[in-house]
Amino acid sequence: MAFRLAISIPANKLYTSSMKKTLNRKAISTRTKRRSSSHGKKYVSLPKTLQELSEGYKALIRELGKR
Amino acid sequence: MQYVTLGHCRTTVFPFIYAELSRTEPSAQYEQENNGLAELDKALHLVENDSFYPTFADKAAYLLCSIAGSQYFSNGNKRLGVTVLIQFHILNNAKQLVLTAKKYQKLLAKFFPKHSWESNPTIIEADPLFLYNLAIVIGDRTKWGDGVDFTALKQKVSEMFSELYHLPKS
Repeated sequence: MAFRLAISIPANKLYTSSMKKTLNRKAISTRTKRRSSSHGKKYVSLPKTLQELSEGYKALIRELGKR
Repeated sequence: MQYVTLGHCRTTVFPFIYAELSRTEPSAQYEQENNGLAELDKALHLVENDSFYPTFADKAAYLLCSIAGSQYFSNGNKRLGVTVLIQFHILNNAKQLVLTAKKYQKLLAKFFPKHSWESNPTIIEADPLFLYNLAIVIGDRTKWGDGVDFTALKQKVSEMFSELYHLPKS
């Protein structure tokens, strides 16, 4: 019964003003994190020698030979 | 900046290509084609000129376009162009952007809308599949786009490379 009551009350009525401030700060921090991760680019290096290249690169050379 | 030399080609690049080809596939014997070697040597020297090719992306684009799009050798020019490009990246410890195949496809379509992306079940990873498609584009002038000459081709490839590759800060 208590649970039913809680979900029927609008969210802004459930929190005190200090709780709202904390939630707002959390929301801002979540948004900031999301923005930086969507713009965050991941880079990798190739191995040190051609012979150490992955099978995909070796297949690339083989397949270009068929073109 | 470190550059690929004809010496690197003889000791590393050509043997790598030979090792990856099956006995039945046609393969240029690069060392036996003197005219091709002379043209390749010219391209490998020209790329060192910073006034022609000021950035890493410009240099990488020139290497790939000039070799893969040329007829320096009777066969195997695309393979050679891609392998020299990779060797250039290795020598300079270049970093490459991690993208999905879909994003590579989108990037290539932005610059070369006339090309239809080709999937290849034996090339599983996204980055070599991108290079495979790019080499096909470079080798087929009809896919460059209307009014795109060799200079414009190099520019397009350089713009793509500047999004994909960068040198580590020294």
